[in-house]
Amino acid sequence: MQRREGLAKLTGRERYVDDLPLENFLWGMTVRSPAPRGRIAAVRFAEEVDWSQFVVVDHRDIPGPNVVALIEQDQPVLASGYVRHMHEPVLLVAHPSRDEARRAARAITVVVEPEPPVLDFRVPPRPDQIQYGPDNVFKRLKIEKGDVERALREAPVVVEGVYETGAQEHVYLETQGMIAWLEDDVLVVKGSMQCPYYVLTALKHALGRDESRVRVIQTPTGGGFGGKEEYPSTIALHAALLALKAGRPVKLIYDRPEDMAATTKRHPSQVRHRTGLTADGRLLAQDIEVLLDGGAYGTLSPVVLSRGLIHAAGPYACENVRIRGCVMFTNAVPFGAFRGFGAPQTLFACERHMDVIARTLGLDPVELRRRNLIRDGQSTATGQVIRDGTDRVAVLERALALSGYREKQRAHAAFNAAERAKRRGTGLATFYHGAGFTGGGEVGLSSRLQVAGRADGRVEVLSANIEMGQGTLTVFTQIAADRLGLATDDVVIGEADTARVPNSGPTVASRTTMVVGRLIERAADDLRRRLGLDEAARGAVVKQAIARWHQEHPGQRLLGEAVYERPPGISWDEERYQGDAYGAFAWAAYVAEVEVDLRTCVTRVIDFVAVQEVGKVVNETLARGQIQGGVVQGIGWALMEECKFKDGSMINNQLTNYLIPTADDVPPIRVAFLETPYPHGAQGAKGLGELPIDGPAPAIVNAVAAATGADPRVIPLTPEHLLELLNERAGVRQPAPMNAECGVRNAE
Amino acid sequence: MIPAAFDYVRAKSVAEALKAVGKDSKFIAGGHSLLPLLKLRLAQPGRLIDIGHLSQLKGIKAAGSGLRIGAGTTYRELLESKLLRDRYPLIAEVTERIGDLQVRNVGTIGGGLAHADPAADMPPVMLVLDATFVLQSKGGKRSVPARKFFRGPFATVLKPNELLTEIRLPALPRGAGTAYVSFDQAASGYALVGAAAVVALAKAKLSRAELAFTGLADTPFLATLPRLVGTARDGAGDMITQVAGAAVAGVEPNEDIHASAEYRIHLAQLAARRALAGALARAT
Repeated sequence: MQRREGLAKLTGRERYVDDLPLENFLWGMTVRSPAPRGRIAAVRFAEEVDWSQFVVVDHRDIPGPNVVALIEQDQPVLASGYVRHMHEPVLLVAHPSRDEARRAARAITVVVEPEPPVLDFRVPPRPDQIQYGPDNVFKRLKIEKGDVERALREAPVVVEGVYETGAQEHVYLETQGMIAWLEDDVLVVKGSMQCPYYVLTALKHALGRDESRVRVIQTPTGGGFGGKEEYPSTIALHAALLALKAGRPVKLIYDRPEDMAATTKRHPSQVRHRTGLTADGRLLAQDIEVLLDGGAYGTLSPVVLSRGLIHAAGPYACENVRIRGCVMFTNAVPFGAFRGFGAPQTLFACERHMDVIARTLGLDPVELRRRNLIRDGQSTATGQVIRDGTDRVAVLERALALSGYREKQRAHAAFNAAERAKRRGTGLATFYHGAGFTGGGEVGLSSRLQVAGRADGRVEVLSANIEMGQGTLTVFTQIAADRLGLATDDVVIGEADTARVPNSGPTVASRTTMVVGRLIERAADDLRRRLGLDEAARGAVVKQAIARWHQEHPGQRLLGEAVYERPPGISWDEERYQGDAYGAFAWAAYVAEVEVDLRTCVTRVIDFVAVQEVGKVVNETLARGQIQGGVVQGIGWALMEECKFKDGSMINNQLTNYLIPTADDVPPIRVAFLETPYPHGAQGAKGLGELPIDGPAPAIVNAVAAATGADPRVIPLTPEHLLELLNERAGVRQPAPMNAECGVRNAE
Repeated sequence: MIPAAFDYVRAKSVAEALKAVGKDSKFIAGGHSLLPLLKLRLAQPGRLIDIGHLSQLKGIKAAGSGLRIGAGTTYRELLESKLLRDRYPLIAEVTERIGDLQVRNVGTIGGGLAHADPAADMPPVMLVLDATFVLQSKGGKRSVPARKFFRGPFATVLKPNELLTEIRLPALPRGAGTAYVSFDQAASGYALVGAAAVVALAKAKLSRAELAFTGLADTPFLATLPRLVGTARDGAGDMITQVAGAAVAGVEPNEDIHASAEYRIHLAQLAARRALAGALARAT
């Protein structure tokens, strides 16, 4: 089918939040902290400005608790008396002229008495840097299976390695933006977001309003990648506070530099592996420590850590596994949700480490993985027994065949012998990604969805899940139409408006097609039941029944409904972190081919193959697009996207100096799907949105190692970084030694 | 991203432009470098004197075996000149790399040089070609060698009341080869480091060898190339590798968010090697 919103986007008719008509409104601006940490000694308003012309909001204007409601309830809506990171919002100003508002924001000086910040999450904090709990640890988690210490003692070979990944900016095309106004006594907030009900919860909490007096509506969203999971709650609150005080609509749109400097990024990580093996490369023990930089507030860091740890051991069978990890408080701008949610970091370490093991043991990296890939009936680190019928070795073999891996290796040997200044190599990563919320998360969400039968005979899907470029509208249409045997034109997807749609959960965690799509099928079935039709009823029969129902029940609403139910046979022990972490994993094997210029140290990815098993593919064009987009984002994270920090904030906060891949940097990306339908996902689908960001970085860096003989352990592997490695093979700029003081020891 | 208020004077002649000079005035030709500074309010002149359209400032004329280029000549006009391409293919080559088609249609060679961006491509070309710049004020004209023109980032010897009106290029030795090599910042296209070179031969030996860098330090500069002149053509390859190292010795390289000092030095040696070798290969 044609992509639902495709034509509007193609022709430029789609209206994003900044394009929406709004009358008699004010522009909002944010006044931010100029320092990473300290007491606010004064807020000075320049005398030459006529402040009566401006609406000014500070923390005293917040009717309810000064908190952006999320996991830890630690982040103020506006700083009151103390700041914990650069660019922390302190005041808000609004004016009918955007220029005037901007000038006024600059005419307010926040004076901070500086205190010693903690800016490196890898170094144990000094006592005067402690700002969260007794040790600056936001969250500790541990997963344990078997007896790692004993297995490591007895293992014939132990291989250690420390790996680091950098922050990453989402670079959604549409920057963050919200508009807010009062309609009678109802506060309406519209904007770019992934999770309308998260925004609703945050507004209710801090503004002291109940559900009947707040309404949140998602506007067409120009990309999210997790960057619009939790952050929109903050900007929505800011727009709302200004609108409430001004009594007029307020528009708050970040420009690119503000967006890049002030909003969340991917958590930087440091991961250590100690791996016990037999001489022929069978895994005996995996001891893994993970440190994440959380930044100054908790955001979603505890769950990012959780997902990171669960994926840290890779898609391999091992009887003895211990994974410990912490997220550290630092005075950096808070890190938050980003596609992959911790898994890309730990899987980079795992998959790079697999190649380090192979090199240490003199084994072929393919063979090492082939020997250890988890087989049906074997269990993951959390003790989840995998029996989904997928042949993970077959996924690997398909990737090898499709990429011509062996042929490439032979060609590279000849190429590298002939060329003076260029080297080519191939790299591999095998990995997995669990779809949906972790553990009991989906049960906790208890998502609800409706399929309404309308008087015109069409059906309308009422869900809080949103389109942000990934294809929700199209896939939802397809699922509903297929289930009821309707034409796609007979399906309408309702606007994600909290006054109209039930809470079907956030549009995150690769859950939309698999989990929410399944709710559409069940709600459609329920609709059929309410119409007195049997399961075989499809098409015209359904349409006619809907029309008839409305004739018989004038003015009433016809709603089929479904609430999430945990698939049978799944259990999770949150206390011990054991059990079925996810309903389903998608499995993948990626092969990267690179060419390195030894003179400039520039790495180009020249070919890429992405093979994955994702259950059933619902829409192949969109699925392919998701995979290719993820690979491109992974190329950026691996090779070029470097957030440069000063005082905990990004200083290359423009697209002229934060480089992302362009068409010039992207190789042919060949995508193949293997399908083993997952019985509890819509049409047999598993989630796939995040999977493709997990594999590219390790595959690419492994390819650089194969091409050059260097041993990179840190990404982004920029030309400068590679130059250092090639200048001194011994390995300058290898990661700092893992800091055993930082909570990991305390996790015992 | 909106400039502060300024007066605008569209001069009808060079004399009128020079007369319009005030305390904080600035000449504008193509404006591609100046306007971003105005928008960022890094520059806030009270008056802009527009000289972009002045035919007096345009034109490429032979002068003996050399060339005179009006400072207001656009990049596009440079590219369309067969005379320029024949005599100074280096200028044509570098001009092709500047901006994009729209920028080249309006941007002027004099404007770019007077702007003196430390990462611009044209200044090192002027250094190796040993150009002379004619600077004019109400009081008269003076000539300044390009090699004494650039004083720092965005700083030259131009006085506030002076206008760069002409670029004079002396003849190159017969058969001289030239080359320019740069490594660009991917988003802006400005050079992280660039190097321009001239090499001439006489009796199978190098009779002239000059190299200038851009992007490497806070101003473009002519490098020292010990003992390269006089080297036999056949043995020049090894010598070039050695002098490329010497060329960056003692330089205080830029270090910024685009590249580290170490990487710039590395690229500079590479650019020097390639530019010299390229120029040598073209020399006859």
